[in-house]
Amino acid sequence: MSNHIVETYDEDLRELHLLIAHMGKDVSTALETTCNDLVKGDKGSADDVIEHDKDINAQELNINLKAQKLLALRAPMASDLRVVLTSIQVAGNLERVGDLTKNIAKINRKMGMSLPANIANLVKKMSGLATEILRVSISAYSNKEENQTQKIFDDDVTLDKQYKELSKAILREIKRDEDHLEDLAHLLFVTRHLERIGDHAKNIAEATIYMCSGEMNRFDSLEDNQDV
Amino acid sequence: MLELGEVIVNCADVSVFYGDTRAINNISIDIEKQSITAFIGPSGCGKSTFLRTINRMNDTIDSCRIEGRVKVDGEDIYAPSVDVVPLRAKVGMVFQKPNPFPKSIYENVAYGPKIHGLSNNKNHLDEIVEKALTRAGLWAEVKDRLHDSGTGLSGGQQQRLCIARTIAVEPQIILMDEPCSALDPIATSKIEALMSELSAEYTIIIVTHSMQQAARVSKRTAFFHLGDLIEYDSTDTIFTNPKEQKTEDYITGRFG
Repeated sequence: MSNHIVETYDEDLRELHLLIAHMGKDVSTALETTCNDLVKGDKGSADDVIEHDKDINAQELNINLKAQKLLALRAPMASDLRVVLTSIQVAGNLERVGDLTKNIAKINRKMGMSLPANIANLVKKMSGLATEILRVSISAYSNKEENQTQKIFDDDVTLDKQYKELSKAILREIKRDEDHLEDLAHLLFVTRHLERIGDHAKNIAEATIYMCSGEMNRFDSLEDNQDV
Repeated sequence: MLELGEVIVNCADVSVFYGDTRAINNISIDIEKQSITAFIGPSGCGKSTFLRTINRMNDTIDSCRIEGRVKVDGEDIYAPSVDVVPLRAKVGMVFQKPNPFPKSIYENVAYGPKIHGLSNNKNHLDEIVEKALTRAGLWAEVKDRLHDSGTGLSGGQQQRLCIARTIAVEPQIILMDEPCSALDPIATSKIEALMSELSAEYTIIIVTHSMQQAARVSKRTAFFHLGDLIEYDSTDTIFTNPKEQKTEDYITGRFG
């Protein structure tokens, strides 16, 4: 698309776009580090991730302020309007992923047990997929690649299945090993958080479709249609 | 596909020429009754020329020639039998710069009904004047000085006086050619609020350079470029998700 007649308008939109890409990278890196450490039983990164969440919250606020300024001063229309509106949505979803990541880091800090091998494998698989879905959603949004979004919806269905599988495995472990009840209960929250992160990635994918085509749709997840 | 309610203006294959220059290329468009339709586009795109074909204001320009058919309320307004005087009462016009007659506020509004024979006595004329000024949202401000000069009012009041003058002859359609471009934001808001009220009774077609104004007041928007009608759709669609790249580029400020 050609440039605006007012060059500073282009600069403002570009800046907004870069801020989203930067926030997305920060959030997905924090998630990946936290999940890897949880699987390994390494608590090294937990404090940093928890502390860094403040910066992620500040980034969301900054994006909202820039978007507000653009709306007030430029009165964007059509595709520009959709870029600004979705930047607020995407930043909000990323901020929530940041919070969920922070909670996973806190759980990791509290964990007293090493994860049993089968559960560690499932957590690794599920957190790997959640991180991947998030990465793809941020990349699709940043590069305005609507055609990447179907993969996100498909992968989110897989993630929901993994969530059920992992939850059942943890419940079985709770019955077997009552001594680690608290740790395992916390781990149930981790699985729930990872499942929620998939939903946030899906929201970002829906925002991408709206930004690219103007179509507003909600894609049901497996969970929406089944009992948990 | 744009779905319209009852149609009051039907234009088919309309072209307008100034001498050898073609200003409008084969435009076909239907305008919905009792609704507000905005014409937008860069300067020289033909939107004002096209607006003026709807009440034959272009007839006043010697070199201007029109092809195609324009029907208002089912009647071909370019048919030889058509008298432009009643046509222009039926299809009134409000211009960019408020242009009250250099007469009293009362006379400005009473003039049209008098020449069109719409009133039979002084009391009836008083009623018409009061009704038109009330509908134009000006009555409360001028009722105690009806015999002061119309040109002594503020710009915004003068424009509402011109609207009162237009509606005093009971038009069906009001054409507005950038009616707020000479007004401050408060006066503009008053005109916009008035347009919204008037659209319950009248059909309004507005040419505006203010995209925000088109977005705020109109139900349908038509985008013109170099004499062509590029896109015509609901205003929501035009300003959030237009189909044509040219429309998108224009409304987002990428060319002008």
